[in-house]
Amino acid sequence: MRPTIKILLADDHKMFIAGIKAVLETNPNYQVVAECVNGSQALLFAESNVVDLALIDVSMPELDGAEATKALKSLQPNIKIIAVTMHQELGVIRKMLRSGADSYLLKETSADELFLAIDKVLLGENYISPLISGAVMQALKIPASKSFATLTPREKEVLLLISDGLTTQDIADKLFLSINTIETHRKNMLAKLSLKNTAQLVRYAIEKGIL
Amino acid sequence: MEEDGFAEAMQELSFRITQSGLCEVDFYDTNASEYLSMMQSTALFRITQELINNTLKYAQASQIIIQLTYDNQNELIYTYEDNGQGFDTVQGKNKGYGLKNIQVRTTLINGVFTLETIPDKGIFVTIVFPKNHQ
Repeated sequence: MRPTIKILLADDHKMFIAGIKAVLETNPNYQVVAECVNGSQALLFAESNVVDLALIDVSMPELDGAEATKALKSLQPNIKIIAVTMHQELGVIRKMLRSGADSYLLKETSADELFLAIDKVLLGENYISPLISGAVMQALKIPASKSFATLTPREKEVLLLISDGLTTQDIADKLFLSINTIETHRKNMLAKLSLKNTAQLVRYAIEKGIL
Repeated sequence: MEEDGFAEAMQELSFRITQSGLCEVDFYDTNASEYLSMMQSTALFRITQELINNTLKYAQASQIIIQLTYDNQNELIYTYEDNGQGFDTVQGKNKGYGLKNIQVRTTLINGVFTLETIPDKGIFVTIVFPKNHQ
């Protein structure tokens, strides 16, 4: 006989806990050992009881899902954690996975999929619901940010005029902008190119062939 | 938005809008975002959303450029520009609405907000605020 898997549930919606408990207990190998309404309760329980698996809601009062996940993992490094949530936003998914969740499921997931996810994480694997795999793929496609050393068209325009020897006031007048905005362009260029002063900026413009 | 997640959140936002085909959005990442407090990150992100809404609604722009730099004088500089038709800051009461929100959020982070609009060349927004204001 397989050993019983001790499961902790944490969700501030008691009806949801009752429902998921009923689903889990159709499998005789699973035993729900704790029903917690927030992350703090989950942590308190895990401080004195061994838990094999925790199903954690993301949005809970008093220690949210990510904080609870982090704390549970540091308390019991072998614990497996499945995030169960309604959130499909990338930021939330990323935060949970970075906190150490082994799996991410949506609450609309079927019982079969829940069991599949549990089997996977108990084997030491990860499981991401197909319902959010699109969002995860999308995240991987987001390109790295623009090179910092790239000047914008307006910055190049200002640099060109600086190099022509125009004063800030002249440039402001010419471009219908305030002196402050021209100064901002100049400061941004210096910061982006790690240069110290206008002379270096002009040299950069010459070297890069912007002039 | 998660902690330290400003740059990532901005990249994600830029990517989504660009993918939608409405406008190309470029966020020039700098290490400056490391200096942001949670409150500053949230304020700047909301301000960005508001500005993008304005651009998409009124400006008919094809490009938006957003940058955040640190000028080594304990000041951070956030800039937002588009290449749209600009807008009249006097006319159009609805347009003033979003700007009021932006001004309030800027005040909350002890920042100074300026907006310049050049007809047919677009707008240029600058928000200068102190580093690590909690």
